[in-house]
Amino acid sequence: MNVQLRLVREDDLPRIKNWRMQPDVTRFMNTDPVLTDEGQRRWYQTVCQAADQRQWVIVLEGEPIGMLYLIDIDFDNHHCSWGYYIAVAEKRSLPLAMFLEWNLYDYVFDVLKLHKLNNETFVENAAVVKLHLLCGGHQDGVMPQQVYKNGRYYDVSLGSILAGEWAAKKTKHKYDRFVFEDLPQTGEGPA
Amino acid sequence: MKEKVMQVLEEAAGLAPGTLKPETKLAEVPALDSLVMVMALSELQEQGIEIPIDEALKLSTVADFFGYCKE
Repeated sequence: MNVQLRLVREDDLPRIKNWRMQPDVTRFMNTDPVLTDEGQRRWYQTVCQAADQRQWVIVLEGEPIGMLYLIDIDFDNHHCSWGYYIAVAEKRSLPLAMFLEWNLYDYVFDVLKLHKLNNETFVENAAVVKLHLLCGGHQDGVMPQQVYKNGRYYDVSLGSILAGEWAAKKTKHKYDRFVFEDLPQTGEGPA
Repeated sequence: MKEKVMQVLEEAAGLAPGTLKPETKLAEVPALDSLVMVMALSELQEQGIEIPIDEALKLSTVADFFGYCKE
C-alpha cells in the first residue's frame, strides 16, 4: 500500500472544502460547516503559520482521498491530539485505517518526540472508539453532552496512547510504512 | 458457524441476506469498509469467533473468516 502524507497546499483547498462538507464526513465531527473559498484561504493561512498543528492530505496510490491532522501540539507538555477522515468512501479499508493510525503513532513519538497522543471521538461513533482500542490505545473517559450540534448534545470519548505503550506494542504488528512530509525546520519543535 | 459469519458481515454492512458468498472478495464490497469491519470483528468476538487484528488485516475473502470458526 503506497500512502503519502503530504502537507496541505493551497491548491488542495477546493477539494478539502468539498470533503469537509460531505454528510458522511461531518456526521461525527464537532461541526457541520458551510465553507467558503475565502474562509478556506484564511484557514490555510492559519495552518501555514501554526506550529501547533500539522494538516496532511492522505494520498493513496497517487490519489488524494482524505485528511489527517495533528492539533494542539504542545511541546511543553509533550502531547497533541489528532483526527482524520477518508472522504473517498470506496477507499475506507480496515488495513488503511489501521496503518494510518500506527504510522501516525510512529510520527508523533519518533519524529516529534512527544509523550502522549490524545483523541476525542463521539461515543456514538462506536466503530472509531473500538478502532483506537484495536490499534493499541485506551479509553480514558467520557465527557457527557460535550458537543451541541443540530439541536442536541453528543457525548465525547477521550482516548490516548503513551509513547511507552506504543513502543511495547509496535513490534507485534507488521504494517506498511507511510511517508510524512514535514515542515521546514523552524526552530519550533521537540527540545 | 459459517452461516453465522456471513450473517454478521451482512448485518454489519447493511446488506440483504444472501448477498455475500464464500468467494466474495472483501475489497469488492464497498459496504465492508473499515468501520463496518471493526464492528463485525467485535460482534464475531462476542459470538466466540476471535480473529487477531493482525490476521484480520490479511483477510481477503468471506471464506477466509471460516478458518476461525470452531465447528
